Amino acid sequence: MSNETLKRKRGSSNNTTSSNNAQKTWEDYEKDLEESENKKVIKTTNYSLDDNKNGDFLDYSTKCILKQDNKSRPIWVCPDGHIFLETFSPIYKQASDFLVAIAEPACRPQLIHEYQLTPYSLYAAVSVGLETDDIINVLQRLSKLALPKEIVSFVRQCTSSYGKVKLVLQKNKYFVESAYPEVLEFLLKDQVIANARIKPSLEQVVVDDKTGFIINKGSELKPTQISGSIQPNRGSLSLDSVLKNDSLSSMLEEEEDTVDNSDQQFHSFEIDPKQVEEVKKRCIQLDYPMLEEYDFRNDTVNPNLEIDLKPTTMIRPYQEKSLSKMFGNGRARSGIIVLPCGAGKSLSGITAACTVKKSILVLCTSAVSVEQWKYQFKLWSNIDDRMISKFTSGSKEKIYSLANVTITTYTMVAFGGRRSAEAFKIMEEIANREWGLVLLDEVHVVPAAMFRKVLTVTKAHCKLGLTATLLREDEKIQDLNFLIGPKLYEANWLDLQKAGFLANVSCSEVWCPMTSEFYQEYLTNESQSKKKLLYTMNPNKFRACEYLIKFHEQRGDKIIVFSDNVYALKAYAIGLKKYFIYGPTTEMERMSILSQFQSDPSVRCIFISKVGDTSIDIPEATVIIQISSHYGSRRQEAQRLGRILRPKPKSEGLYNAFFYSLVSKDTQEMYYSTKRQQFLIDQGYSFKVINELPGIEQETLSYSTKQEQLDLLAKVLGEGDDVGKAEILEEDFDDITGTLKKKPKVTISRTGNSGIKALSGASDGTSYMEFNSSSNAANLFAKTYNASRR
Amino acid sequence: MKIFQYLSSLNQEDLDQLYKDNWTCQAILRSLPPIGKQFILKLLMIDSIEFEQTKIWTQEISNQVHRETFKKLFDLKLLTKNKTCIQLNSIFQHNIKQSLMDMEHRVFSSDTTVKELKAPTIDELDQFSKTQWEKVLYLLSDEKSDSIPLISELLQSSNLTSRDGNGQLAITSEGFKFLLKDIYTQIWTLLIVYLDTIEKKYKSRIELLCFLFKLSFLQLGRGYLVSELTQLQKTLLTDLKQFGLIYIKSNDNPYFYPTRLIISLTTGKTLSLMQDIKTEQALSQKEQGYIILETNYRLYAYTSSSLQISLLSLFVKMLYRLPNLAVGIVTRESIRMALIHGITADQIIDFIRHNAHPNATLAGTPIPDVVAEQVKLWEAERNCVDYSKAVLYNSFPTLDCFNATVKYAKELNLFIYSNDSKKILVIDESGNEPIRNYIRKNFG
Amino acid sequence: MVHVFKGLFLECDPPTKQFLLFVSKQEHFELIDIDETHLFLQGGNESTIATIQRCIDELQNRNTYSVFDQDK
Repeated sequence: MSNETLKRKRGSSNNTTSSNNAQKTWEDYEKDLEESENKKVIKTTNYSLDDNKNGDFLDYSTKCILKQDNKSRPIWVCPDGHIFLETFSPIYKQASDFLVAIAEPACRPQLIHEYQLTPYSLYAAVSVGLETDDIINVLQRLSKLALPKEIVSFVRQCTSSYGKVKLVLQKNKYFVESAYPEVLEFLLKDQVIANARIKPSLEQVVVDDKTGFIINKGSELKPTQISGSIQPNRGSLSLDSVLKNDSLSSMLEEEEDTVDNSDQQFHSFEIDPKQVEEVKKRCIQLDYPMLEEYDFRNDTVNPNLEIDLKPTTMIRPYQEKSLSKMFGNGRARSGIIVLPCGAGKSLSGITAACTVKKSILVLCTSAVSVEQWKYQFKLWSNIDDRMISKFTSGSKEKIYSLANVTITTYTMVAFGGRRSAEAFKIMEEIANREWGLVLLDEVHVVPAAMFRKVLTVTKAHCKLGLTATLLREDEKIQDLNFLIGPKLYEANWLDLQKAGFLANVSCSEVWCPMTSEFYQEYLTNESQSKKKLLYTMNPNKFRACEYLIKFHEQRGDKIIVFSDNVYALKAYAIGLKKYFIYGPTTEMERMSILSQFQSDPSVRCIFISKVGDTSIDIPEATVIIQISSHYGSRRQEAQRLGRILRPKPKSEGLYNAFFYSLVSKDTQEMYYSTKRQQFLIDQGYSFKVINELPGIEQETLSYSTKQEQLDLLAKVLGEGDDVGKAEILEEDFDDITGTLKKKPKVTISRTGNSGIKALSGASDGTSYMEFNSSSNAANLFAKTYNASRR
Repeated sequence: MKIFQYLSSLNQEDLDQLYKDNWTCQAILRSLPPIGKQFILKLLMIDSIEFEQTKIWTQEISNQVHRETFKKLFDLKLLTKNKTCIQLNSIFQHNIKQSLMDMEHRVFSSDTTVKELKAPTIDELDQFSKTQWEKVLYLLSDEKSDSIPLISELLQSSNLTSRDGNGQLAITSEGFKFLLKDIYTQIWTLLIVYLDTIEKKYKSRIELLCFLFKLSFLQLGRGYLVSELTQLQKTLLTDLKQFGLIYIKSNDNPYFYPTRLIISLTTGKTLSLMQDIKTEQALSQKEQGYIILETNYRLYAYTSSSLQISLLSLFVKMLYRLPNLAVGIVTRESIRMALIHGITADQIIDFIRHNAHPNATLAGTPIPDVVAEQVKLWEAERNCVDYSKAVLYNSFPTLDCFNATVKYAKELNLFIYSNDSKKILVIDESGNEPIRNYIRKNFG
Repeated sequence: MVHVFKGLFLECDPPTKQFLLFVSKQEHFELIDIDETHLFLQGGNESTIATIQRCIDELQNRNTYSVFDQDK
């Protein structure tokens, strides 16, 4: 087999299929990965969802054959891997579940959804246990067209070598495992892998004489019955029902592992933990990417954690579904779960933790996040307070028990400089422990380098990444797949909205014409940042904002106004006499403002700067107004929308939440605004354009006279150049958005205090320096690391 | 109906000529709305009647209909008014009476006996007329096709297509509207232009009209001898083939066959006994909706017709074509192209609404509001500047001079705009002479 | 003496007017500023109109994002 596989692999790059995707092997991804680490690469079209990035016309009308009974089938499969799905088909639900498992959703509006088959998506499919033939058969059955042969060979090609090799962490040792000894032999022919191998020396393990591989009988792995009823779910909601729904009623056999493990023999060899990354890379290059699964039930070595979901905790169907993908065969799979903001990602993570019942490490993007996670753990589960510890620059709590939940930030773990003694000890403990599950929150925000660091430093059996936005054009997608695992599940925003799990949001783009003088200045002024300031401070935009605030306050809504630009934030907020929060706002002030917003009926509207994107626990709001945002960031747009996505009680009228983006007409802002919306539009949202706010001329608003407008213009022009740029947050050590701008060796000011400050994300001014030593830092850390491992 | 419009535009003489033909009269009677038919029949056997008395023929509530029907009949010169009495056009009356008594009812003498070998079946005839008419419509949407010179000419003369700056033939706004109409209106529109050309060439449009009406009484599936036709009619036969109205195997073949199109032409309905035959395409009056337009601007068309796809590509950027589905996206560019060709935003929106897939209408959005509004906004973008030819006056020596000139311009209806503080006056370009003279005269 | 100019009377919204004034300097055609929403184009021949339209199109193009734009 190996020879043929080898031949096939060499030949694969020469195969011309009609789809670009088929030619890409894992090796190519690795190459891209390496390249992208060093420089910003403009992504080519290879992994784009819409294969037609250039908008070419693809005519398959003669090539593809329509089946006779096509009306009863819900999908079309094109030779380039693009799939269309009718949502009004009677088997929409099952077809959709299947497609989400094997392909990337491209756009999912109301009636017709589009998906794209990619090697990544097929890898993900195989990871959750789908077999090549199953995939092809089901596609065939669902498709209106005869399945193009390119697709058949593409699927085969992509899935043939996936899922055959697993990386298992057992008793602090790493093993490369497979049911096919030939595959292992093939891998060992590679120098790098061979060098990493540690020959078995202990007598306890059974060794195959011929191959020298350690043999585990399948029965030792003992997978439980396939549905694997996961503990924390209330008895009635076992996964059985979810899985049964997953399977297409008459069309599909069991979706999960059909491999009957009990009789199978698994072969493995041990590898040097220090070279795990290398080995993983090589396996990818050899087209045998390793799956990482954790058999937590049979882990007798690592201590159990007493944790369970509270009986009152309710899990939603989509949360259950996402977890069923993770725990499908009784083991825990590493991967990424994608759920919209406000849909309960934390609870999914916590449920996973309650299932694994081993030590849990939670990585967050900021100190505020850490607090929130701790709060959520206490809220949903019955975990003992002593079993949770926080590790941030502000709270260095010791880890007391053998098994516990530690919540920390990426930056804390990835930090390569010298630590205080306290921090050092805790970090040592973190690095030494064999974590059952690592939860990686907001995975899309973290830069690749930081990830690598974090995942190298910590040893985890299973890694679960949580995110709301998985942008495919992002270079990160490859990193994430490689470093964490495949995408396990992605929820459908519109479906969730229809089911009432997300608020019904009305999204609008309000077009504010520039005043003549502002526009004249905008056209003639050379400075980009001045231009930005001009379109942000457009008096008509101010008036529109005022109008909307008035309107919604009358309705009794709670309004948050976002502005990336600090000058504008202050100008608007002070002008409209509203509270505002930005970087320098002290924590006392923040707490006060936020609590007034929550409870005081006279405070219905607050202004928040970029700090609101990650660092603050923002209370419930029903209206969001954006007056200035960060260029074309789709992630930011989705995240801001997420602030009001939490389900609201039904109101009169169709919508119970409102999202406004104010843009100055005929300026660059229009371009960026549309770009930002793309992700949400793909999820099925539509941005209504409001060209004219009804009755705005009749309202008494600011800047109604030419003189006022001219005064404002003069002020704006008088400001320095930097004023037009977005807010640069003061370096908060834990906050990841701050660190994005940091170079590795930089002086860090630590803040002293605790608790409250963390919630409001502010620094309180007292600081002491933790110095860094330039070259020693890395060594020191490495020494520590090695020392702890003895 | 378009044909009535046309007939009403003819003068008395022509109409009298027309009504001399038996078949014409029958055809016209047949195509009148039911109430019109009733009126005619009521008047058939009498000489004249007091107009007042006709009021009892309809109910109170339908007074409007009563008036309109009568107006139509008068326009067609079927009725004439003589003081307070009305009477039926005598020639018309005579012919109808005749036809009622005509037992034989044959259009052509030999229509019962002869059969051609390998006569085309009804299906084949349907297919032929469908393909032929599609070719006609293609000429509108696909600039490259120039397959039927006759029709191409007609399209240009009726302003449905025009040559743009590069000499390329392109569809016009009128043409787009045309495409939205049902097939019979479309045929008549072209026929009317055709009639005009025939009139110019042979001065015999009436003859042609009579011929058309006669043909509509033929039986579908039957062959008829060419030899029975007049010389003119024979010439016209090949032209009619281009329209898909009749079928003849080759120019010198002795038999010709009417198609469904010509037979239904005057009634606008397909014959009841033929209704079992399913025709997938535009032969039925109302097409089944096939377009789904989503909030993300993507358009899905359940069609395999190249024509429909080429029609959609007028304003949609097409991405995929599958055997029974075409997928595209509505972009600013694609809409702009359509707007440049003279198609309006409303037309596009109506077209989509008209042809919306039943599932889309069920879901409540035949066309998503966001998309419709955006299309209108893109249209408005193009019209952001209003231009008008004018003359501007400034540097008036005194305020009095300025005010007086403005007043004068207003009196002459030449005034367009003025700015008092800058003492600028703008008037229509034609007013340059008089205004200049006025200024010179009164203010030296 | 009163000055006479033949040409085209233009009506548009204030931002467009500003834009036209801006463009007139680059493309070398003469505009008389009447008020917030009105301009007068001296001469006003076909090609100038075409130029104006082209500039407006370009501006609108620049400010519009299309799904086919390469991600930068």
